[in-house]
Amino acid sequence: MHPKIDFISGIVLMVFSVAAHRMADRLPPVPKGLGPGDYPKVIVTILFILGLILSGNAYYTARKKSWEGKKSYAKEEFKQVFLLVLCIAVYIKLVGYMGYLYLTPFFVFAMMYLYGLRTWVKMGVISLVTGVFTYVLFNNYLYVLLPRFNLF
Amino acid sequence: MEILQGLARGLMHTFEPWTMLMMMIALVGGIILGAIPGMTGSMGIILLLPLLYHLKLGPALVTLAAMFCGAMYGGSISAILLRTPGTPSSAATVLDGHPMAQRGEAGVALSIALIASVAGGLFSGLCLIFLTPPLARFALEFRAPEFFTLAVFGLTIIAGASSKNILKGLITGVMGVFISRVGVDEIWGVSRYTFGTNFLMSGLSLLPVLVGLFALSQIFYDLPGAIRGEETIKQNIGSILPSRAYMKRIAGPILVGSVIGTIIGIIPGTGGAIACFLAYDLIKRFHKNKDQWGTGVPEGIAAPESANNGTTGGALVPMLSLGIPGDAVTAVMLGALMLLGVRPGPMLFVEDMESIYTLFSAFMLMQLIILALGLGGIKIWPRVLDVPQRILMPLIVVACFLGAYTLANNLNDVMTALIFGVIGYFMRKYDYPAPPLILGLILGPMTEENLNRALLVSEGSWSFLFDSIISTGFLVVSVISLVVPILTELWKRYRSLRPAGASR
Repeated sequence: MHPKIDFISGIVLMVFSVAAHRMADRLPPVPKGLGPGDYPKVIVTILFILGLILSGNAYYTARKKSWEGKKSYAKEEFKQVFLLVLCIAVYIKLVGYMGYLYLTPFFVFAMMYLYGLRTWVKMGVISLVTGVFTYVLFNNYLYVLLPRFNLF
Repeated sequence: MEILQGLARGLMHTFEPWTMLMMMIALVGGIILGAIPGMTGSMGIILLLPLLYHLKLGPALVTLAAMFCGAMYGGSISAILLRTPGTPSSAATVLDGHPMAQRGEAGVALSIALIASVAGGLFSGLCLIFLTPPLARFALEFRAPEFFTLAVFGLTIIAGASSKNILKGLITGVMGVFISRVGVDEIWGVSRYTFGTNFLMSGLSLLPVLVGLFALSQIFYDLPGAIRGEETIKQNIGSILPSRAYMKRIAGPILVGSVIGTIIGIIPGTGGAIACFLAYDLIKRFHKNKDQWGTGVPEGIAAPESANNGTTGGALVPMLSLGIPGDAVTAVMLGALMLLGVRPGPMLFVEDMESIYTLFSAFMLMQLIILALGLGGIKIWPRVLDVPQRILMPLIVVACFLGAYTLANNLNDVMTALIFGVIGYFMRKYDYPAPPLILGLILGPMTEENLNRALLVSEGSWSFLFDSIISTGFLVVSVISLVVPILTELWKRYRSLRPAGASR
């Protein structure tokens, strides 16, 4: 149980449901059957109720036990995950300009470094082989046009 | 007779080089992935997606099923050797498998798991062959009201599929339905929740969501452990084949486990994790030496392993005949097939029966191949556990990138996968199950389209829900499948809150 997180999640869910309901309200009505906004309105109403139950449940649990609940992650763990996500996001943003073939070896190398590997030669070989092998496989045999160098 | 002829033709298709090659790749890949703790059949299917785009339906179905069966068997390897189940379906195998390995009988334990897995797979394969076509023929009678109530039933099994926390399961499931409605409305052509962007006009693609929720989130979740380089103590394999006395002891549990697994597999929303514990518990209950369980009895490996493999064929029955996934892996499988432009369900049996027969034949054949691969590689498969996660994980990230990118050669899809990977990571951290979200994404369109159609035909009257016995039946079952888990959960809470001895 994570009462604090659950309580906040429930509130967020309710706010989200109200916003989505208002957006669905603006969709045009239809003479017969379900209009484009009708079904989403039913769905977000259910979401609102579920959010309410989640928050209420968390509040009830917190009052009986504590707001904190079990600790889900250490700060260090969160930092590691954040760095990996950032690394992947930067790769996705850059690969359209740098090209898959040129950027992927560096990306694999960086990730192995992030994972704590420090055997440089092994890391270099694996990175290079992964980049070249997947490029040839997808480009030449599976006919998938991977991003190419597009900087100039 | 017609079935036998179909199976013979299916076997011929299975022996086509490309189908055999893909089946072998998926089986070996499945065993390897299943053996690695944290990697599941769902992730294996996602990693296969770039290859699946180039296959016809028959080979694609065979490849998906091979990954499913391979991963299910592979999960037992780490359960026995490391005391860490490779997949949740092998959780019960740990209880007696690992003590047996510690006793110096790791090879025998692995062989028992293999024999039980193959037997469970063969039994469920027979049920798949003989139950699916009649069920599909029955489903051919369905019209919009029946499909609507069937989809509602599919959605209500979310409660059963999220046994750890029903409320959170319902939230993710309903959120999945909501996300599936983003984009242009199919009937009226109106944009919903697109915020004026072209990217969202056709809705969120299922594939990036699958890659994010099932593959990337797992990588993020396992990252701290992989960085720490957590070491585990492995066992010596020792002798391989079980003695005749052991074989006699495991015959009964294998049969019971296979039946339980297949039945549990057929019930939508359940899966191998439930089946393995149910079979383990049932055999233990009727065993004459109950107190020996947990110390390494062969029955304690045979029952759960035959049950979890029994779910493979069972779970394919509702997926193929009704388009309703039997468990989390078949939900991902269903999503993968939809990406190939195939909608599993009764029409598939009319339009492409040859591919279905190919799957049936290949399903039986792959059990025998698993037996050969398992026995031949009993000393090799455990070496998979030696591959450092520090190398494996970056390679899987690259595979995820390729999987999401190949959908439409679009980097936006990869970014969507990353976003859902982060969402999936937090969902895992805070106990929100991911399979209901996929169920919602798959069944959301089916519910709205069929409800709209039924309402248009009945001129706005809701009486269509009770016009046919099938739709009424589905409604009743839906209410039961939604209410029973909730009541059970409430009862458990009430029991835990009640002070000890209050009943007296």
